[in-house]
Amino acid sequence: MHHEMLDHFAAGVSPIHRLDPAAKTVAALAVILATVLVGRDHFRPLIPLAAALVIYQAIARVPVGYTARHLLLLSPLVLGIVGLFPLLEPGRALWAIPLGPWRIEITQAGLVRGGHLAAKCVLASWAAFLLMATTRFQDLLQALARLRVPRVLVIQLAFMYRYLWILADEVMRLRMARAARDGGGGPWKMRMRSRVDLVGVLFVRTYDRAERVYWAMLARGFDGTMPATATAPARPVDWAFAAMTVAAALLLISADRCLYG
Amino acid sequence: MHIAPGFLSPPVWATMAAVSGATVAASLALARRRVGERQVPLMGVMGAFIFAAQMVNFPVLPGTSGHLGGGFLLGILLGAPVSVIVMASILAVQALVFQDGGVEALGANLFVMGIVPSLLGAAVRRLWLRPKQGIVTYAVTFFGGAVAVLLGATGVILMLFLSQSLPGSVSLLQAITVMDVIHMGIGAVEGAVTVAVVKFVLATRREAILSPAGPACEKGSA
Amino acid sequence: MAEPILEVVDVRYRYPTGTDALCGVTFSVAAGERVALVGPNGAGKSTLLLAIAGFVPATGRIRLGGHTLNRATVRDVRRHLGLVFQDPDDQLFMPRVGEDVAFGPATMGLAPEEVHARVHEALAAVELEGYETRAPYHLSVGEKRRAALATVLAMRPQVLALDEPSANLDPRGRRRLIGLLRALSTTLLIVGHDLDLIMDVCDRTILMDAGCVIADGPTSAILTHRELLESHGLELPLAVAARQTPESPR
Repeated sequence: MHHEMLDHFAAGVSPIHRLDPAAKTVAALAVILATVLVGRDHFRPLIPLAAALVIYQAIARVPVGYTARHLLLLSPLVLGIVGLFPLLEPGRALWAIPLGPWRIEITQAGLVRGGHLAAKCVLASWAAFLLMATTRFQDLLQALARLRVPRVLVIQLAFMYRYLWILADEVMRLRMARAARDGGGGPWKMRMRSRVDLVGVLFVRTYDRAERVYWAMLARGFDGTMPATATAPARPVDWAFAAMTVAAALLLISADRCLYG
Repeated sequence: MHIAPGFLSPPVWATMAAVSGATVAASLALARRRVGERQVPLMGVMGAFIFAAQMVNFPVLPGTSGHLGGGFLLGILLGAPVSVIVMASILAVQALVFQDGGVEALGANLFVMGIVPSLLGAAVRRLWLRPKQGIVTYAVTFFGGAVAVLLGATGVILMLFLSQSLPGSVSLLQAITVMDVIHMGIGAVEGAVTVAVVKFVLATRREAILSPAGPACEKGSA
Repeated sequence: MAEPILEVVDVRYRYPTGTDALCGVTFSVAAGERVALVGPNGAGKSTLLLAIAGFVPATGRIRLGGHTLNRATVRDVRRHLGLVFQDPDDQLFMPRVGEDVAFGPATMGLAPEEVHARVHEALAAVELEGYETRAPYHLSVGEKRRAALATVLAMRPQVLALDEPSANLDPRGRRRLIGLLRALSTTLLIVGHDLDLIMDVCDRTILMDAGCVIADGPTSAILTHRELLESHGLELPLAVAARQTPESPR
C-alpha cells in the first residue's frame, strides 16, 4: 500500500535521513515559504529552489520515478486553473485556433501566469514530499513537539496516524464483504444504501474502539496527561543545516523583492 | 477542493491562518471542558474514521463519484469543537504526508473544509438530539450538507480571486457559478449521505451521539 | 493460608438492557496462582475482568493487592492489575513500541532512567529486544500480542489479567506465548477458549456460564470432565481428548 512505500524510503540510510527531524522540518518549511513568497510571474528565483531540491533528493537517494509519479498527480482544481489561464487571461495572442463560430486564443500572459502557478505548486509539494520521504512520521511528531506545536495537537496527530491504517484495512474488509454480496453492481439506490451502511458501521465500530483504547489507557494509569518522551538532542550539524536553509530562503526572498522591485 | 500551494497570496493565506488558528485554539479549550480526558483517544480515532470514510466513493452521476467531506457529519455526531480539531489534524496530515493542499494554505483549507461545515453541522445537531426526527430534520440536514459544500466551493473561488489566481477575463461571479454548478452533485451526495449515516448511527448506537462525552464509563464498584 | 491477592465476593452486574451479566460471582486467588476463567460466549468472563478493573459498575466486593475497589481506589487497583485487552491494536496506541511500553511506568511517575530500565526489562521478557522504535502497524499479530503484554509487564502488576491471549495467533506464535506465560512468576488470570493453552499454563480453572461460577478447581480435574464441559458449550482440550480412550461414548 501507499503508506508502506512512503515509510520504506523514510526508513532509509543517508546523511539526510540521519539529520534531526526538527531541523529537516524547519528547513522544509523555509523552502516552502520561500517558494510561495516568490513574486508574481518571477521565474528566476525558482531555479535555485529547484536546484536545492534536486541536490537534496540525490543525497537522500529518493527514487526519481516515484517522486515524479507522486508530484504529477495534480488535483483537478490545480489542473483546471492552470489549464484555463492560457485560454482566458487577456493579453497578446500567440496562437489562435478557430473552433466553429469561436476563436480560441492562447495568450502569452496566460501561459506565463499558468506556468508560474504550476511551477510554484510543484516545487512546494516537492519540498513537503522530500521531508516525508526522508523522515518517519513518528520522528516528525517528536519534531513538531519540539517546535512548540501544542502537545494536544501532536498527540491528536499521533493517535490519528496510529489508527489510520487499521481503519483503512477495516474499510477494505467491509468493502470486500459488500462486494461478495452484491458484486459492486446493482441499481443506484442499492449501491448508495450499501455504502451508507458501510460508513455507519465504520462510525459505530470506531466509536467503540475509541472507548476500548480509552479503557486501555486508564488501565495503565492515564490521568489526562500524556507522558513526554525523551528525544535525542540536535547536533551542531543539524543546527547548521536548518540555519543555512533558513538563511538561504531569506536571501532568496529579499533578492526577489529587490531585483524585481 | 484542497487549495494547492502557491495559489494564495500572502495576505490571504496569512489572514486565514490566523482565523483558523484562533478557532482551533478555542475548540481545544471547549473540547477539554466538554469531553475531558476522554477526548484524547476519541478525537484521534475519529480522525482516522474520517480518513477511512473518505475512501468510500458514492456514485453521483453515471461515471462520476464523490466522497464525504466529513466536517458536516462530524459536527452533527460529535459537536463543533471536536469536529474542528479532528478536521485540522486530517488536513495537516493531508498537506504534509500526501501533499494534498499547501502547507501555507492549511488555514484557508481548514476554514472552508473544516470550520464552516463543522459549525453548520453543529447547528443542525440540535434537531437530531430531539427525541423524534421527521421530514424537517432530514430536509434541513440535507440542505445543510449541500450548503456546506457550496459555501466551501464559493470560499475557495473567493480566496483565489482575492489572490489574483484566476484568469483575468473571468469575473468573480462567473467563476463562482461554474464552481458551484460543478459541486451541486457533490453537495447533494454530502447532504443525502449525511442524513442516512446519522439515521443509521442513531438507530444502532444512540448514546454515541447524544453527548460528546458519551456514556460515563469510569465507575468503581460500590 | 496467606491473605489472597485477589478477592471477588458476590459481584453482580446487570447490563443497561436488563440482562444479567454477573450474578453473584465469588472466588479468591492466592499470590502466584495461575487461574483460568473459561466458559461459553456471553458467560460474563470478559465482563468480570472489566469489573475487577473498575470499568463496569458492578456491585459486591472486589479486593486486589490490599485495596478494596471503589471510586477512590480505582487507580490503585488498576495499577496492581495488569489488564491485557483482547485486541492488541486497542492496547498499543502510541506511535512506537518503546513509547507504548513506557506509557504505564511514565504515568506512574517513575524517573526517566527507571522508565527506560523497565521498558528494556519488559521487552526482554517478551523477547522483543530492540523493538523500541518500531511502529505497531509494522508488527505481526504475534509481535503485537507480545508487545501488548510488555506494556503491562513494565508496570510490574501483582496480578496479570489476559483476555483471550491467543486469539488470531498462528501455532508458532501461540507456542511462543505459552512459553512466555509459563516463564512469568506473576499471578495470572487468563480468560479464554484456548483450553490447550490453559492446560499448559494454568493450575486452576474456574468455569462460568450465564454470569455464574459453575465449577472451580484444579485444571486437571475440570478440563478432563467431558460432561461438565459439554453441558456448558465447551469441548475437551485436544490433548485430553487424544489421551482419553475412544470407547467411552457418552
